Amino acid sequence: MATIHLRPERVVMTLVLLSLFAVSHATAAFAQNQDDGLSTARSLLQQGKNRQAIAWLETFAANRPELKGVNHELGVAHYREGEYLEAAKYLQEAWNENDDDHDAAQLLGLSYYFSGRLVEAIPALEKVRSWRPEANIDAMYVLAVCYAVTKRYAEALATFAQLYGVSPDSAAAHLLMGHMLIRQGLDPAAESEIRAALRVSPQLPLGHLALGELSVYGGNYPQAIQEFEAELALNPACAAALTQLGEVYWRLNRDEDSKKVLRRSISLDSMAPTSYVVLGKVLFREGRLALAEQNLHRAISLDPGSYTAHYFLGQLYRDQGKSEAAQREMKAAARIQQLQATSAGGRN
Amino acid sequence: MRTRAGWILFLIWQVVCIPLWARIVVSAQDRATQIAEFRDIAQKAGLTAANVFGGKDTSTYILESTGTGVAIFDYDNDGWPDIFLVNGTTVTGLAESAPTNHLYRNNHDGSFTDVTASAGLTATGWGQGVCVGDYDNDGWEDLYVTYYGKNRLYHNIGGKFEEVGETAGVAGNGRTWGSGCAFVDYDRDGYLDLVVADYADFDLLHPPAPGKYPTCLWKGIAVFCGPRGLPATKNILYRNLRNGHFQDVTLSSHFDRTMGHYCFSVSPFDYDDDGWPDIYVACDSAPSILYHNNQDGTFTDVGILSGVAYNADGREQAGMGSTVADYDGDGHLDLFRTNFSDDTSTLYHNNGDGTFRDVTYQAGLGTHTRYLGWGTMFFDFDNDGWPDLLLVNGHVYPEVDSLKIGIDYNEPKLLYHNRGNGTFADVSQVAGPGITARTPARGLAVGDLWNDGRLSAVVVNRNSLPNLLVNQTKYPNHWIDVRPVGTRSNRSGIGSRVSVRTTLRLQSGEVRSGSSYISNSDMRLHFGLGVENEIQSIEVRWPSGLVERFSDAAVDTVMMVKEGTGEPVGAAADGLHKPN
Repeated sequence: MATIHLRPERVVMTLVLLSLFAVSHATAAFAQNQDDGLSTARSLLQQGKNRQAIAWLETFAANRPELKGVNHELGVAHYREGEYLEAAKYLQEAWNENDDDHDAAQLLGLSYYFSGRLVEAIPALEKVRSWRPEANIDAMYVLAVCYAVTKRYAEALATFAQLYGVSPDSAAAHLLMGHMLIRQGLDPAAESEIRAALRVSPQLPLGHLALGELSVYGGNYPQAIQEFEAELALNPACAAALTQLGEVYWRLNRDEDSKKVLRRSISLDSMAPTSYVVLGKVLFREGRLALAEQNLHRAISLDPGSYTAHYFLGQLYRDQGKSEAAQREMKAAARIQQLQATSAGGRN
Repeated sequence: MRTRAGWILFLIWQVVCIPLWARIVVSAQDRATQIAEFRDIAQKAGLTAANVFGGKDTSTYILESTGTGVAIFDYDNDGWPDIFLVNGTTVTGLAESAPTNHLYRNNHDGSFTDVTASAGLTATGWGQGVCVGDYDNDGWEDLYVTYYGKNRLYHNIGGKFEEVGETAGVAGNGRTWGSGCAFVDYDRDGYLDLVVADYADFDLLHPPAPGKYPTCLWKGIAVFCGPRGLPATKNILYRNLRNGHFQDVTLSSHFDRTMGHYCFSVSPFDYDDDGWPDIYVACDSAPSILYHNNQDGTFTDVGILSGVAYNADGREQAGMGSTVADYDGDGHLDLFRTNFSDDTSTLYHNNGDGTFRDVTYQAGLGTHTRYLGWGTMFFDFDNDGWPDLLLVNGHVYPEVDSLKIGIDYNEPKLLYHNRGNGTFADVSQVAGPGITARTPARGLAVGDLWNDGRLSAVVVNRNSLPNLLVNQTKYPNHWIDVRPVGTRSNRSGIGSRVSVRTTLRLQSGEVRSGSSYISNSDMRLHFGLGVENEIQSIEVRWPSGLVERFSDAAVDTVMMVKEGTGEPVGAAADGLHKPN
């Protein structure tokens, strides 16, 4: 469940966008020619002293309320501090002051996005797209997500299609859209898009795989099996479908079936850690501890961050009376999750 | 210790008798269509006070989302269980007619009378959870109510309550958000001690706004912040000093030495059958805790190593409620926990060696992933001798309805029927409108409200009226309710292990305060007996270590068993004896 449910794209996107902004800001339109006070604030920002910059700017703004540019810098400073609600407030003001402030518009859209105010994010992001229709793919991605979450599905579809260079009415566009909706946890809409993709092109690879994954999320295991089998009928070399099928069989106590498909999956892709984890789970339940241990170690060697592999290894050692090794593995599982939770944020 | 011969007999019984039992009981599952008819009679029965807990249509802060608990207990010693519903307030406060908790007296005729004022329970505030126990052994069950703010201990003086939390030393610091609680005699001195689970340190004067941090987003939209990002706090253990006062022993007992935090329900149970009560605490977005009683006044959190902190994949879940029973009849107490949406609830099978295995999928409980579970109780609704499972659900984000993602704010309850073979059948759709009706449910308590062997359920719904779910379906099965009364042990009998032996079955249960979601069910132990109409014996292992047999039990009755009045069975060197 956990392996399938993790949706870490928000973290990745945050890092990507922050780094892109750092580059763009270095060449920002706002040249340092306005005022000594603003120059000081910018200098502090360049040194990463965001809190000091905020304090400076707030004092400065109190004394020179008429000066343009303060809201922009305050918005940037709060954005860099991850204070998106505050950032949005100042960046909105900055954009109102200068509707050609590209950086303010982009950061405003992102600030609204990161604070979950997606309806408000859309106008700013649309403006950014109009300025740089091809150049800023990250803003386009965020805009498409905003459309999707706010149920503006047609615009989301068109934007994702543009982003990936496919026709909006193609099966590929619907499949891409479906995947993006899965990542947002919008499962019914995702299913609808994937089914649309398969209507356009019944032989499309990866559609049934995605439907199978959705069925697993929803606890509908018979349906999941059907979808994975349909995927394999179209795409017999799809190792991911075999692995997912192995997981479902494990949940249904069909260990022999599980082992069979997992071995096929490993033969196709010997570098995918999840297959070894699931095989380790099956073998552990069967009491074949040496083989289970071997597979779980293999999974960890491929993915040291697999807390499930560490956890099962811990249980395996516990059942063998190897308390020290058990504690070590279970602590590793706990530590990995703590790190993942810290970086992912949110609930689940 | 179970002897080798005992083991062999036990195995023979497992192999031969369980299938026989399964053939002769009249199980609800045998009925082709409607297997139960749970109807909500709360309004008709007089449970008319609506719950107040934060904003009705929005939840700006997590404090407004978690709802309250409920207790079923006999406050006036008339032999009939009464109902206590905890109430909250709103962020803006309600200057006039501020909501209070409500105590409803059982009129013995299917109705209840609100006796809150005459019982002295008209306090207001951010009420949360409730637990029951006779902490001073005076024969009257007392109440402990947790708050966001100072917790309250209500001393029951002949059916009137006096608030003594501060003087008794259990009010807390007033800053911490208290949640679940349970009375438990952890040092087995005959006096009930008190466990209080804490959710977080929450500053309502400076709360984070929705969307302020990445922890304040859910499926891309701004929602209230938490629990991640909120300052965690420790759970509290109070030792009863036997003079009306308690001592905070959190640090000396090592209760604070745990990875778990953001905790809710408390379910004490002797998971390793050593006679010393251990304590399970369900935690939200963190590993859940199993405090192992070291028998020397200290505890060790063995949740992770024993296998009840995470799910089968080793993933932490958002634990809410928990319940304990021997669902498969192997003599060991098992554990069930409700969790957040987009996840399954979790059933942990007790392996009998101090470890557990997550058998959620194998037991058929891994199919509902959309509901957000809160209160849960094992209860044998058809008296076939196998504990069934009731879960009550409701989402925390009112915004979820606008997303149209197949998850709703108001959710139905789930009823799983125990097939008697280690698996459960989802019978929610054929168990009556009380189960299928959608509500924002939170607390749950179950009990035999009319001493007729028919288990009912009381549900707290956030900012709504409560439910009183009564099963209208009659079953020909027999039953017995057992009420242990301690003399050397605590008077409430909490922690007593009771075994009921019939021709074909040996069932066991344990008296427990707390459990479910920050609630307290009828503490009399209910055993469904199927079609068996004779009880061979009832054996009680008291917290004092005394083991007694009571041979005069009749089916279809409520039986009080008083410590020291049965036939002593013997005691092991450690003062314990395990029925075999």
